[in-house]
Amino acid sequence: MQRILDRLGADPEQETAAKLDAFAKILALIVGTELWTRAIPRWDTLDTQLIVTLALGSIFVLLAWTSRLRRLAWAGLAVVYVSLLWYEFPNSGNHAYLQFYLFAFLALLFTDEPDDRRLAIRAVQWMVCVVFAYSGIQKLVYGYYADAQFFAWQMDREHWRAAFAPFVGADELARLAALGGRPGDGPYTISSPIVVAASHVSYVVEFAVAPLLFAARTRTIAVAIAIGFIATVEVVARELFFGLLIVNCLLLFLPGAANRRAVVPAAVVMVALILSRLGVLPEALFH
Amino acid sequence: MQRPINQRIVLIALMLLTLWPALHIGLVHARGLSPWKLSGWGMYALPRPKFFGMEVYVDRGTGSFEQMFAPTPDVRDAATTFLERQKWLGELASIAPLARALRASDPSIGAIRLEVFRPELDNETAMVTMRTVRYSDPP
Repeated sequence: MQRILDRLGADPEQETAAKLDAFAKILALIVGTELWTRAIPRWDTLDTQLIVTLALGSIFVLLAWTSRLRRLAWAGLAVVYVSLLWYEFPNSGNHAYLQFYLFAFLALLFTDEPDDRRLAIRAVQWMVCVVFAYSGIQKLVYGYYADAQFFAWQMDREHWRAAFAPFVGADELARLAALGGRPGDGPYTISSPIVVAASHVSYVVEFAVAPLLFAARTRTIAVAIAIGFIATVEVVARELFFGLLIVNCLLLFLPGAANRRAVVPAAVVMVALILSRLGVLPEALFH
Repeated sequence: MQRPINQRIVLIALMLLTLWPALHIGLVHARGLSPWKLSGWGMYALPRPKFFGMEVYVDRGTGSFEQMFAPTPDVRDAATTFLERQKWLGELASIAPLARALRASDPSIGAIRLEVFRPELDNETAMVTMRTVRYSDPP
């Protein structure tokens, strides 16, 4: 395993601390924002478990910003997320599991020490490769991307229709939107060659990203492709927090501590999301 | 030099997290687990059913099963929880809590049979078909 991880490349020692620090700060921002944006719409009906999760999660997120208590904060967040996964089981989204893994890695490793710090970065990078590779594999094995059947199935959702409207005829969109998913309904197919091609491209990109991230020469372009792909998925599916989480992880593949420049923009985005949930900014649909 | 224990734990965890999605795919095929959940990274790989249905049949010691139409609130809650878990866990969802609620609501209930209906998109025909999963307690 270590030999495989070594192929993910290594930054100069002095860069890894700043790189991991920036990653940790953005991760804390994402987690804190997600906890609050989930809680705000249900403020009047929060149950005890969610109140405890929100309170403890917020404390640990704040601690994660202070470098001295950061390891304790990650351990605390790992415990909070185990409790959350248990409480919500099996409903939690995959990104809650990914967050838990990241917290656990960062709590287990002494990131003040170079060897542990390097392993922490590689562990996160490896998980990105696992997520992309298996996302592609799963799309291929179930066969719902061969003729864009999956995209057709999603057309009863307004934001999916809006994203595909430029490529699908109005009659076909109306037909798909009217299908109710009842036995005998169908066919869930889309005649647009562009949409069928996009269906194939989606798993091909996911397949391709992992090996491209491994090769030093293609690493940066792979990060750009992956971020572009995630951004496209966000437009259609609005799985915003999963996207932000993966993009934060992807930035670890960039040489040096380039991700330091993302901390302030990330903070601005998080504030905007919370203000959107509070109704100060226009409401936006995101999960 | 031996690697510190914390590094070994992380490396073992990475190996397990790399193997788990392969097992997850197997469970999707064999036991109807949903690819959307449980860290298999199969979100958006398979259409999510738009509704679920369930019929409950009970044997009140007569040797024949009759369909239950008017569940108590506790039974309805247990049935809702079971269906929600069945949606993601497929055949791995346990019917034990629902069976307990049923027997608590009516001690004369012996054997229980459940039929869960879930519409599925056939990827060959692109048409929706109905899949029925049957459960029995005792098995």
